[in-house]
Amino acid sequence: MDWERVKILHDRYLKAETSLDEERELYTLLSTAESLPRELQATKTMLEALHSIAQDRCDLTIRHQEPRRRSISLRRIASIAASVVVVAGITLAMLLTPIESEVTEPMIVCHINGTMVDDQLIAQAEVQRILGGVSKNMHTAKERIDNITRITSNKQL
Amino acid sequence: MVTETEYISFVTRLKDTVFRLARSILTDSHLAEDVTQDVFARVWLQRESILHSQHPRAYTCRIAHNLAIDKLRHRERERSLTLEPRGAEHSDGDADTSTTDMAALTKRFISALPDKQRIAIHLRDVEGYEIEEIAQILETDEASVRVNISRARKRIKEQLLNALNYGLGES
Repeated sequence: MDWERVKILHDRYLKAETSLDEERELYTLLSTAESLPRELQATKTMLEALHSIAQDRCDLTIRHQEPRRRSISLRRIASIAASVVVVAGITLAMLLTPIESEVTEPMIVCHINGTMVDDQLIAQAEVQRILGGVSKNMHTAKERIDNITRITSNKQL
Repeated sequence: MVTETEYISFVTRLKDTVFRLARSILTDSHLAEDVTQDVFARVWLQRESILHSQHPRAYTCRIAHNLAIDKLRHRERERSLTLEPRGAEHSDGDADTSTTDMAALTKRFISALPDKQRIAIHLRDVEGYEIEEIAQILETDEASVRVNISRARKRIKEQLLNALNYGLGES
């Protein structure tokens, strides 16, 4: 037994200056000693008691978390369903409620050659241009129908 | 993403440590079991941050320490209201209370230590934590931890020497 080593480790142990490895070394040295002075015997007893406490096990059965998680997810689903019902109710109520007379300026949107236009003047001008074209085409069509009618009546005569 | 298997493995590794730490603070196995359950319920809720932290073990022990201290305070409040005498908590389920048994005697000396010393020596000498980790768990500095451990060891050794001198251990 290296008593010098034991004494150094023991002194440092009491001052809490030892590393975990040194503490294990001290425990081994004291445990294997056949006879010890009272000072060291007290420390050995203390170390053995602490070691036996470390052997105590928790016989606690850790509850599996799944039931808890399931209940949480069910609660979540229920809350989501409730939210959907509330949102649907509000939407339905808004749709069924007659619109107030307070009319806001309608937003005019039209597509000109595939481009969306929301400028009222441009839209109006485009509509006028199109209507003008339609009117012109109708006028032309009317003339052609009149011609066909005239030719047909001449042939019958 | 922490899987259920990782969580269960973590709990299995640490449940005894958490239980013993809680019991060292509360000196009551039933309350310590309650605290252990609460600790791991919290770990589950914060599993991403705890299990991926730098020191998941120290983090969990800090939760255990704080919950056990809360429970201890709660019990003290209840006791003060019901006028229950202090010391009743030391009548834990441990069967080895014979004063002739030196190991049992040492356990009693440990349980009679001031809270800070008892927790510090428990974390070091029972659980084998590094001083740095104990400082993290107790949210203090390493010097204070060393002082508490040193005082606890010297105190227990002194009491054991007295017991040996009076022949209590020589059965």
